Amino acid sequence: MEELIHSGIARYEYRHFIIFGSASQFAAMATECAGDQGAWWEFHDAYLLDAQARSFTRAGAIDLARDNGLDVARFTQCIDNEEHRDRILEMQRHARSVGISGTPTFRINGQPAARSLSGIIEQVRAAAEAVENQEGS
Amino acid sequence: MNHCLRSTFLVMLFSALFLAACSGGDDVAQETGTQTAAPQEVESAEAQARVQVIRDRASLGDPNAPVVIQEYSDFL
Repeated sequence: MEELIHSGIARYEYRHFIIFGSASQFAAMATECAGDQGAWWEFHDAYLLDAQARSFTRAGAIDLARDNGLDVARFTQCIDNEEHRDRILEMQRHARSVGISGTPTFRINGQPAARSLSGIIEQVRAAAEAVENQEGS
Repeated sequence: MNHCLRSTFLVMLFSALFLAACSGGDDVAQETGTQTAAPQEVESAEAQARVQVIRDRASLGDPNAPVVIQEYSDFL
């Protein structure tokens, strides 16, 4: 899979799809606020590894921002004002409109992905070939 | 099953990032191998630039890649 990404064949995109309520939505918003300061992936990684869900609270997220060297005042303002709420909800509406109902769900060029890793790899290669053939014709 | 798939996928993605950083550094070392010792900061800057290209906000990889893999997920 890494070969597909590093060779330029595929790009990976993460989309928020909230199914576990307000704590999940808060984490998504905090991650986007961190993204405003270039730390989207740091928050993404921290949330996935946070087994005790400490950073799913306001205080925990602010600690995480501080630990990652962010401008804490700016970050706090962003989460308190829910600056990314509408964008996340729009992402959610769009996902539902294309049939997403659970997580994690993968799609490849907008189409439902295979359910196994090997199937996904095969599907990515086929999609790349299809694009290449289209461009060649 | 889904969580296994997700975990495997993420592990591979993060491995990819690690390998990118390492291979970027190797490339610099090879290119400068016939010259005098490569400055550490040059190698570090090259590796960092490669990682920044790959790790855009919420996405990994070439923005012009023909195939887009989207993961819809929840942090909890």
